[in-house]
Amino acid sequence: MRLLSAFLLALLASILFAPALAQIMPDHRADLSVWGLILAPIVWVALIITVYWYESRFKPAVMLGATVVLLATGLVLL
Amino acid sequence: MDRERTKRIYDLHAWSGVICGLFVFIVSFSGILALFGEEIAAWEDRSAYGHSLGDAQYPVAGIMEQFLAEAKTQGELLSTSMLFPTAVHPFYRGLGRLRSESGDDSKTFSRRWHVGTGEVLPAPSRALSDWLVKFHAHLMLPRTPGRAVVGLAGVLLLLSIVTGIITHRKLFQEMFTWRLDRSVRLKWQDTHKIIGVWGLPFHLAISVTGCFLGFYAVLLPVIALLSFQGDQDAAYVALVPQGPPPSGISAEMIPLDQAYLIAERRTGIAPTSVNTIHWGDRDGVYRFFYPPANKLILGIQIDVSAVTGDVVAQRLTDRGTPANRALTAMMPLHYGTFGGYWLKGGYTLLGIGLCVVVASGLMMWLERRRYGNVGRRSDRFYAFLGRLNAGVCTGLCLASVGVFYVGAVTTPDLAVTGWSFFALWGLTVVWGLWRPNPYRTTREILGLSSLCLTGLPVLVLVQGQELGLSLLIDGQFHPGAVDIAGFSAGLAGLIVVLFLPDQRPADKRAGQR
Repeated sequence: MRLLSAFLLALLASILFAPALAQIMPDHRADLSVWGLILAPIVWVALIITVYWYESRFKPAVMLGATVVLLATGLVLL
Repeated sequence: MDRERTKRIYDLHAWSGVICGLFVFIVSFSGILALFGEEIAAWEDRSAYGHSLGDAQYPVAGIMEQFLAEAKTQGELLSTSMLFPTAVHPFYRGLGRLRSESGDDSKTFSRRWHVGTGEVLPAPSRALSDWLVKFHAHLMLPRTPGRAVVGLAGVLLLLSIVTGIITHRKLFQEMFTWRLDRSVRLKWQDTHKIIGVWGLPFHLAISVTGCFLGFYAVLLPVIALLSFQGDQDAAYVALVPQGPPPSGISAEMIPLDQAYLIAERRTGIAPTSVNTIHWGDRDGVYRFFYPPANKLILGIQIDVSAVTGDVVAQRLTDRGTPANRALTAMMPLHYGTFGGYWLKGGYTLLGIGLCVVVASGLMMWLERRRYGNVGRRSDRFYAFLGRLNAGVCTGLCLASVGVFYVGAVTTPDLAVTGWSFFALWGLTVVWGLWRPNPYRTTREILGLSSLCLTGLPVLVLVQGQELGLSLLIDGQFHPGAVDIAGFSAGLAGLIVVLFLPDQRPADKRAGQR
């Protein structure tokens, strides 16, 4: 459960970080999208390790909640 | 460092490695063969033996016009490329991309011509090379989901590497520790660590670029959708800059040979291929491509106006931003195309090293459980895993070598090659599971694979072709080099097999069977 929620949370965060930055800096959105493509898998792995490192602070319920928040953010960006 | 945290990360390293180790091994091993896709294509193309670059080259303009006219009869033409003769493929090769009947995808139309006479040559057989390259790129699944599955292997490899770095804090010491005279577990452990640490930069590069290439097609529409509020066309134009649309006014094109000379004069080197853009239009352009010249780029491009003959654009990449440079570095870095054959040789050795790291990691995990005090399952279960491990890993080697022989006994065809590959692999896995001693299975199958590799030149002789060495003397480097490289690799494999143990050293339980 923990691994699955960590994978989901990290995956969403890795996909969303570049578009979120593109909202703040619209002039650089093409470059940010490219960086998003390149860095997404790296961010994904980094976040999975972070979740495992700080295991006590990332309860599965908290991670699922964060996943829902990220999904909502994605919908807002759309 | 917190012991509990380190242990958690170590568990993540071990479990991600064990659950997906065989999958990562398959992708890594198939990647080694995919590196040499073009050379293997030249080797299997028996009808091309005897062709060489020669001195006289037939004018390309007539060929190009003939190809464009023929391609247009096949359907709506999306793009065309003309590949100039090279040492690997000493022909003119035309490649057209046509809109398919469904309109969702594209199909290709290709031709090749004799370099001296311009005569149309029979289509080459690429079943073997296509299979080896496509199996690595997308496991022969539908292209986009298949690439994503392979990309997942990159993510898992990256996860294993980073967690490995975190848990192994004495990296420098581990680079020089290889205790071959100690216990079996220590041997596996030291082998895993020493090869893993020495190859670390390569493993990191290959996993990061593999992730990118795998997920690119899946992530591009998602990120474009989010960053450009659903306007995918705008996103595509921003990410992949497009030239201006055609003017719609017809104009006469200058011959391709003339444009070729203009491009060659500008750079001093011969281009490798040319694309026609807006052919027949006032804004028509010949886009010439050059090899990357030891730079981490896909290639250099020069646009020559097809109407005036002026050089209208010249660039290393489509845009010069760091993001775009990083983007164009991904593919050459993954396939080692930015250097010569020495670089590919290095990639091969490091790729084999990666396979050994994965296999030794799996063996370490099993050793700790079967012969150490960590395992909670039965001895029978771990013995089964050991046999499965040996069968899958060595079976992949045998299947990959075996398909070289398939084209010699049947009509070369992608489906036949694929089925033969899986049949050989499946049989070896069954053999591995049936045999009680995985050490002996490994020796047998690796020995057979090596023997088959040494037989590649003989296979060519049986088919009535010239031996690799005489091909090399005749100036046909690539088919000859594949023969000789196969023979040398097979010989090296046989020597390694001689040194492999027949059973687990000091393994009383295995010895009793």
